[in-house]
Amino acid sequence: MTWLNNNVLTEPFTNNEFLRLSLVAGILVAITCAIAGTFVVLRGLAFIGDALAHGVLPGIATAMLLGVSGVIGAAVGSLVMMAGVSVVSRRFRLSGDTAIGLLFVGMLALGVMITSRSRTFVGDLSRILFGELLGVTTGDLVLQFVALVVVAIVAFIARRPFLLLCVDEGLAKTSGFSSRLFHNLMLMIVAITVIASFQTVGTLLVLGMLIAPAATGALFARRISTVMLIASLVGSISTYVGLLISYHFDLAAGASIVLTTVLVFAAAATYTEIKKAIADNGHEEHEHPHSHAGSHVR
Amino acid sequence: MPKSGSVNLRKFLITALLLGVLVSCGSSGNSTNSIESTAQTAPDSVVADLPVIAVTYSVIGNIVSQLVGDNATVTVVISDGQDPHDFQPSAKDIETINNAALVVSNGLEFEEGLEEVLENIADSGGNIFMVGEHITVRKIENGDEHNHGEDEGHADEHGDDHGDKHTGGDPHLWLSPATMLEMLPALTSALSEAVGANLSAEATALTTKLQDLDGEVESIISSLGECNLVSGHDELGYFADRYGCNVIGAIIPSFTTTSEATAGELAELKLLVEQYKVPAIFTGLGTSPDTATQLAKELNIKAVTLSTHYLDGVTNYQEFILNLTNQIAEALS
Repeated sequence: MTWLNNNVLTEPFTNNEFLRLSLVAGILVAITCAIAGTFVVLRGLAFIGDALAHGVLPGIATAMLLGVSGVIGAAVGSLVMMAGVSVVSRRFRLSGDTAIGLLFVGMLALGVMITSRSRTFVGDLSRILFGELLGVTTGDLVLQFVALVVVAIVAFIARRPFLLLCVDEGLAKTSGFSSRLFHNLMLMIVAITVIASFQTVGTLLVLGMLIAPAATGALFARRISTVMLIASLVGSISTYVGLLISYHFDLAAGASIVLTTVLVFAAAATYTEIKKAIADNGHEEHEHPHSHAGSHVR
Repeated sequence: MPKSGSVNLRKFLITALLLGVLVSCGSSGNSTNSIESTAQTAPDSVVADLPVIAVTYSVIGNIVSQLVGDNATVTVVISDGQDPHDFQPSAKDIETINNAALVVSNGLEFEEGLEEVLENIADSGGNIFMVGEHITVRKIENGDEHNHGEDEGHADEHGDDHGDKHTGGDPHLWLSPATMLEMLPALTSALSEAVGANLSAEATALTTKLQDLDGEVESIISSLGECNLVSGHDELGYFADRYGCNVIGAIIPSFTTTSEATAGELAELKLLVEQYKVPAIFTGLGTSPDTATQLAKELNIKAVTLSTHYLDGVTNYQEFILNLTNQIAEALS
């Protein structure tokens, strides 16, 4: 194999339809996750995002057991999850973290029980957790695209309340709209993202796609739309690179993609640290009387 | 206590109850099955005084049944439809195994979830018969990944990184009647001792049936001319070796279903299928059906589902092998 050859980067895709489908699916997932993930990162929803990603498991398993589409099961599972968290945290006055943790492990255990006793291998646990990126169908692509459109529309319509929720919750509460409603709406778009994406990258790895690209974006930008743009680019490029890695080095596709997103974040974070260190060094030599409080990125 | 709070609690409890009902409906059915012996229909509960033979999966379970007849109750631990490669036993399953007069398992690390239980029995001197110890095991040489035939540069790059998780050899030994014949004497004497009866008559009868079966399969396959096999995971090795077929490759090129397909291997598989003009790929337990369908579509060939790891409703081992052979022959002709 000649590494100098450009074909190394394109031939896998031109020769194999299944890789083209995987690439398109991955990019759609990346963009959807970029939108939802920006809110997850800015609003600190990573834990409940993770909980949703795993909490849908019994829903998916039950649906497959009943011969119903796994997507419907995932939708039901996420509703149960969110309702449960809401009830436990409000009614029993336990912290949000505790409520999320309880529902998370309960639903996950339930899901494992169901799949381990299922008489068919269609509800295979590892396939739900890790996805089947290399077996993407055009039906999956349509579903993913619809989810992207829905998430984008909701995020656009609710952009001002969402922005306020991320930046200053106190201000949000006094601004005349129900912060609880928009918080739940935010959770809903995360749920939709998870539900649409589990068939491609799997529930375990959706979380990676939600967080790492958006976290990278948040290192460089402060405007939500810019963060989303950077996240989309990082996610899409990671999909491409991850698939190439899977092809050339015989590694699992979904995991390669997610690991790439995390490595990109690590590289970006290192870059910003170095940049800051250089800038700080430069400032030490001239003594400035004023503080640098305003120069923090976040 | 505010009214809305108790209404919410009620809704939550009802949802939980419904979910609980769904779960119990979905997972009804015992984890272990008593299967029919050829002589009589075994009752669901163990007949008093009859020794229990615990077999891990139904294919070998049927062989055992044909040998012991009504001298014992045969219980199959991994019920049909569950993947024996990653089946996780319940406490009840483990109890069944521990209390059996004899445990018959595949060996060669086939039942990954039962490894520890079976090892414990062997270590503590219990009665366990592992089929894999009494046959000629099919192995893969290091560096030559799964008999790819003339394979340009790829075999060298892959070496032995991930191809075989189990270096002990191919566990799918039940797919060749000749291999079954190889272990039959040892199995018969182990069973005879466990049930306290002389089973040589049954063994002779079964030997004849298996020899006839072997001949029948051979004539079906030899009438094909070329027999190039692509399977879900590397499961057809013993069958291929016995009847002169070539294992071209597999979607998951591993002896176990617990590995994942990678883009590189799938692309390589496509090239091989085109090179050897394979008319169909066989998929089944543990393989992603979508991946198989997509591959078949791209290559313009058929994707055929085979039931290779469990009896799937047929009455005995002979029928199981014949069905499999006919499906393969039909797909490849």
